[in-house]
Amino acid sequence: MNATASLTTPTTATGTRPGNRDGYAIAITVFSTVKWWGRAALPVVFTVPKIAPQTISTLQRLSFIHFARWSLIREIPYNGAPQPEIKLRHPHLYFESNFNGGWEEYIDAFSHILTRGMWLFWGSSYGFPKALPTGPFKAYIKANEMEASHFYSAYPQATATQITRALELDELLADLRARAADMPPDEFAAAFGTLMAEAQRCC
Amino acid sequence: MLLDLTALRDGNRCGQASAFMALTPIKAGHEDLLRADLEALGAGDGPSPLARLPRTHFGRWVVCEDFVTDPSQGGADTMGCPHLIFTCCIDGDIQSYLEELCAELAPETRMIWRHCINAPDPAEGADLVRYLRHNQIDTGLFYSAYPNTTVGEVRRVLRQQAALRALAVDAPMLTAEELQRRFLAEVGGS
Repeated sequence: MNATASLTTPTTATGTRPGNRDGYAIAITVFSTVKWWGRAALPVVFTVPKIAPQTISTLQRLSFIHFARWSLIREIPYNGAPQPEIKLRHPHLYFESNFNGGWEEYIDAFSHILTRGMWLFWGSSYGFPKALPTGPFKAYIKANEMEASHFYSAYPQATATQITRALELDELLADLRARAADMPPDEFAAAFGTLMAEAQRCC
Repeated sequence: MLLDLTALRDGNRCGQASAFMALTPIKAGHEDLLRADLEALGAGDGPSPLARLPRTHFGRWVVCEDFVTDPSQGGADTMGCPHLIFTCCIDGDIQSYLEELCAELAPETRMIWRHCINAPDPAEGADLVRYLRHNQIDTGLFYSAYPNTTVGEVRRVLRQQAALRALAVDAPMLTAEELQRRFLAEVGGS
């Protein structure tokens, strides 16, 4: 949402257009034109992570991503005149990400950590200059990116890392929460201390 | 990480979460009017209308003028006219979410989709759900860092995390009884 974003966006959100921010949350929206062979290759690329989820573990290392999606557009839905009826010459790849941090940092991390994956997703797109070095890739994304006119996050002040850690903490807390009311105070205090030490290590 | 059979059957799903996208054609000359209406949503200190749909994690409206043509592709590919992209990441199934969107946010949906070609007039309710479904673009791959966590659960664990941090700061100054009492009151017992 643009209005609150201007007040709350962290200074680390470098390179982010105003419409693509809501608090710490950043939106990226990109179209690219796909070569003929991407029509067959991309559905395979999309299916592999569903059959072998470990292949997407690299994406999980990009811990600042909340949600991301890829879609292959082969035709434009037709609604009748006066909409021009269009037959696309190429398929088009739609990509969007909901993340936190800054645009520059996001593209840098994406390029360095997901180098091979980037080729799998965008190697069939016209003009894709390879993930590294990042300069030409950033120019490519900028040329293909669109600014949102309205962007909303349900928890604009939370980073993806903060949420995954809060979920880990919740699991850690479950046992103490269940027993807390029935424990003698000294036993509770000792258990609380142990839990906080564990929480510092993992969450 | 386990095999996600639901996602295998339906690319719009990842765990309990769903991704929706609609691509709707904008009436000639309406791009700037639509942009102005979208930028006015939640202007000032007001919340986004999507905040009224508690199943929404993220949502966006984007006015897309056309595809970008790369010099190497040998000829432009066009959408025919500018299009409105609406996407959201939500809890649960798409159909019931769209029904909620087109009912609860009717004042906003009327304002937005009136700019789109052959959208129902007024743009709300079951007719708008059908229009959005007709213009839906299926997702090939949908990724979530926390696919089985609802918006409500995200907010709950964040509140719990903040409460526990505050309690940890105060803990050295509290007796065992005070610590336990505050834990039960602020973090919660089951």
